[in-house]
Amino acid sequence: MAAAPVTVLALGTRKVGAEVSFDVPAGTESVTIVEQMISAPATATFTDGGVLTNGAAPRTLTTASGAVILDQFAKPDYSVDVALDFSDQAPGTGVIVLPNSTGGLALVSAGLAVGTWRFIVSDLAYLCTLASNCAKNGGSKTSTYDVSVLLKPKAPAAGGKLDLTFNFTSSSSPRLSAASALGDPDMQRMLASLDTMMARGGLSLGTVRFVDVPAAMAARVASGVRLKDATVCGDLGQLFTTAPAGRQVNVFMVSSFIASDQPSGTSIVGIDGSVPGPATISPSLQSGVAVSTVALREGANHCGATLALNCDPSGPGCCGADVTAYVVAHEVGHFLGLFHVTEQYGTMFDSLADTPTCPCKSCTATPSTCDDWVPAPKTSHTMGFDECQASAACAGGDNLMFWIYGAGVVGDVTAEQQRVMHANPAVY
Amino acid sequence: MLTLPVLLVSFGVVAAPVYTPPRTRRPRPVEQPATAVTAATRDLATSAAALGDPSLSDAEVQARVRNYLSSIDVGASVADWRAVGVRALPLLQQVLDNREELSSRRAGAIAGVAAVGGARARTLVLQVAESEREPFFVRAAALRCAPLVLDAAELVRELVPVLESANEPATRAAAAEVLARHAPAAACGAVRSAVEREAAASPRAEERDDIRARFARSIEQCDAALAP
Repeated sequence: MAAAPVTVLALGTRKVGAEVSFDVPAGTESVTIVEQMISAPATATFTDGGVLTNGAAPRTLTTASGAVILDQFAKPDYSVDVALDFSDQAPGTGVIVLPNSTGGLALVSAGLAVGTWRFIVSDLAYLCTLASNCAKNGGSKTSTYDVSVLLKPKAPAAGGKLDLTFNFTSSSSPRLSAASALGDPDMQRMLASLDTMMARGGLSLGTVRFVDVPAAMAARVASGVRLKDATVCGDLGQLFTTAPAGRQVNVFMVSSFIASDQPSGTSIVGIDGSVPGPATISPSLQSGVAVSTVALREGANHCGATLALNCDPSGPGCCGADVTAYVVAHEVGHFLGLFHVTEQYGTMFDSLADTPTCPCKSCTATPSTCDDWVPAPKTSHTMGFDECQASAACAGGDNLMFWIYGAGVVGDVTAEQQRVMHANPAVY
Repeated sequence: MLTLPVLLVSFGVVAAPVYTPPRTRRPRPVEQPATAVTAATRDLATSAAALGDPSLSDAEVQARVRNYLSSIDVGASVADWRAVGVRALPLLQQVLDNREELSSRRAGAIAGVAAVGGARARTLVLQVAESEREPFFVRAAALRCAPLVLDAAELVRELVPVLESANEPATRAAAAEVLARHAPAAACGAVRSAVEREAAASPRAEERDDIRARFARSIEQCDAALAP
């Protein structure tokens, strides 16, 4: 069966503050708004919040029935009832996808309002100019963006396919290229494991392609991708601009990540451009996810008939190709709109009602170390597997979108997570 | 007589709202100034500060170490590691010594060791940074965390040999980047020489372009740091 086409409305260059309208037809499953920077400051400065990355997103989004489902000056507190959860700010390209919350899924189930929808093109620097807490010259009203809207028609409720393109940057160990990947046993194991994990999310792998990143870019990031969030000129954004166009998710296989707070880059094995990513839009500064190849060839003696993901030293041992597949699946989950079910400090959660949560204060044995304890602790507790698999009220450690991997990892995906991914324009 | 608020409303003057940016769910690694090593940080593990947060139980320290080494897309910072302090060192040493462990976990362990600091950390970081037996990922982690335990002069003395003679090109590039960022005045000459020497030794123009691209970030850093 041919994939139902996604309608792309190219709305041209628009200045911040401009109101843009578009028509939503009957039977629409998802609405995606993409703002790609043409000209904008890198940061916005607030008197109380300091210098922040200038992320792009509409100021308001109003449906055909007149309901305002996004208002950046009246943000809800990320409840599951919110129609649209907006909380990720990435430089250069802003993406919002409806639905990405339980409230949004309910809107889709009831049928998205048919007719003319409106939104105001905006970014953080523009919002700053409208706010009383904007620092002097902290914002800008002159930024311009290339604006697109993607409308995905409803498809059969069950299943869905996702095409992936693996982009190789590696000129060092482990050597991988578009030419060698097809015959590479570790890469093939990784793909088979990824297929198994995606199936838990109700998705199957469609076409898988292998391409090499242009040589100059590959050489530039041979020793690692520098993570630099306050500018569009960082390695990660520039790497993503090399992504091939098409209805797919681009996965960049890289050697390592580098952050100037030296240890933090060292422990990162995957990262996404933004949550969600600008599916089908390429090139852009967020057109993909990046995953380290570090584990791909490790633990080969543990790569048996079933997935081997338990990396705990006291466990049975883990297969590096399976671990790499898990990281790819996790980052693809972000790209398709999923947040961590419970963030590291156990104080923030996704906006889906059926994902298990693990609030720090009620799930840790030492609540006084929780980030939201009063008085605040000197340093904050991070949520682990054990405490987040302890009971129905302290759960989520086994979910694909838990913030860490390791002993006990399962990679579960809930029904609402499946629906959010299914609604993404990349899935057909 | 009209009061001031009534006047404001009458003339349509409405106070601008306060804007609260969305809470960042996934803090991204932030570009920060190079960390300066001082005697105080170098010898941290022998100081009272190295004990970390004394209010943390041993179980809490163990849990945090386990989580930091298992992260996917959220990194543990210097402050995170310093909070668990020297009590984390035996755990980290255990991970580092076990070559059956994933390299990503061993890399996290050497980063944690470097962040906690001290003489033992210095020795360990140098051993890993200089070892040809270590996988690139682990060695690169040691190189990148070396500025936490070595001052600029020590970095030049210890890392220039890695820049000049490591087997793997990416390792040489990683050493160059650390030197260019943390010891530009003393090391950029060596970085530029290494690039030119490698390029000159390559017969093909394509290879020379590749080498220059691999060192491009280091040269850009040197240019920026040493600009008049």
